[in-house]
Amino acid sequence: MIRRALAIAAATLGVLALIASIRHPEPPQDGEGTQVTRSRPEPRDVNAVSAAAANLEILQPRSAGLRMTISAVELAEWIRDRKPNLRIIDLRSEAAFDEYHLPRAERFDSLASAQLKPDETIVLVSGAATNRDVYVLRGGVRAWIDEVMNPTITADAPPDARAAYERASIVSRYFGGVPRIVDNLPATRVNAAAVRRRGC
Amino acid sequence: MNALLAAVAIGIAFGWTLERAGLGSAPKLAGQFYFTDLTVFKVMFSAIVTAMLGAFWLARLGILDLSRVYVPETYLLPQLAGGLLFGVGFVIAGLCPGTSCVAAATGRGDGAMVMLGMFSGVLATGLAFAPLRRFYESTARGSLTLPDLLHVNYGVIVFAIVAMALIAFQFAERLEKRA
Repeated sequence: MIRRALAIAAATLGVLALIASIRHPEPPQDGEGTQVTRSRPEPRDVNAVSAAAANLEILQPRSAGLRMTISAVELAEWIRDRKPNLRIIDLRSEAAFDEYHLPRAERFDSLASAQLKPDETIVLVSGAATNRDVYVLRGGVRAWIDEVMNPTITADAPPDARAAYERASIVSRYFGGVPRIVDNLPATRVNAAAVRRRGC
Repeated sequence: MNALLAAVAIGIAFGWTLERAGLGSAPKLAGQFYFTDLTVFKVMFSAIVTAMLGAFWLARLGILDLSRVYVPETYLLPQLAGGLLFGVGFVIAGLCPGTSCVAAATGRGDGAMVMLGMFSGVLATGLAFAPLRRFYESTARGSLTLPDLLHVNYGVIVFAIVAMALIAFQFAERLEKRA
């Protein structure tokens, strides 16, 4: 009896799905008929990090030891190689940190509250700088997601791009990323939720 | 942290459901391959239909953003090879990864042995990854979905799969009665 009711419920929802999509089709995608658009919206907070890092480049005057930048792949190698005294400081909001953060990243409201020691190498994922040796992650969390978690390359890429891809792929797998060789580089980028580890 | 707690809760619910469906027992699972007991088929297909209808209608009602749902990438040959290897292992062991954990949790020795084999396999694959890598990355097709592939609406696919499931369930019950 229960099984019959479940079967009827499934059949009803299935027929309604058919009717719903015929009467109100999803918006077409690039003129390829009636497909559901699969664009991935970029998370706002991740962009904010990139913007924060970019602002830092512009606003802070160049002074000794300040604002060295590091690429996401270089940082990934540091983390993997357990570089001594490395600290990754994330100054984004708690919500943004909970949604996605770099492995080993620590979140603080300000750099002062992080209680940095003189011999530590600091990598700032976003936010303000101080007058000490600080690396800023170029491109912020966005760059980490694109370059470390999802490195992509086209099959006909030039050798130097291939070499960069190979290097990125090694750390990418270490962090559970998915390096891909694709026909066309994706126009829209993957969002933070999509890079979480998955399994079956 | 919340995501981890949710994962634990979902994992326990999943294991409990598998066990209640009787999928912790290897003979029951093996029955699948001799067409005497199609429980696995029925449980899995019901799960697919439930998840599919849920995802479709939640997205339709604006509760779920489908663009945030991860669609695994297709690698034709490696996935074909992996699927075959998985199938052979399934028949030999009588258990698959999830059910082996359920079997082990309920104290079955074969479940524990399958888990041991599974983790040994994971380790061996990891160690032998360098030579496997070329194959692992070959025939990449990106994220494919049936609506994209067949150029039809999600609704049409949802309807077709529900219809397929209901017909298949009828057929499965008939097969079981005969066995």
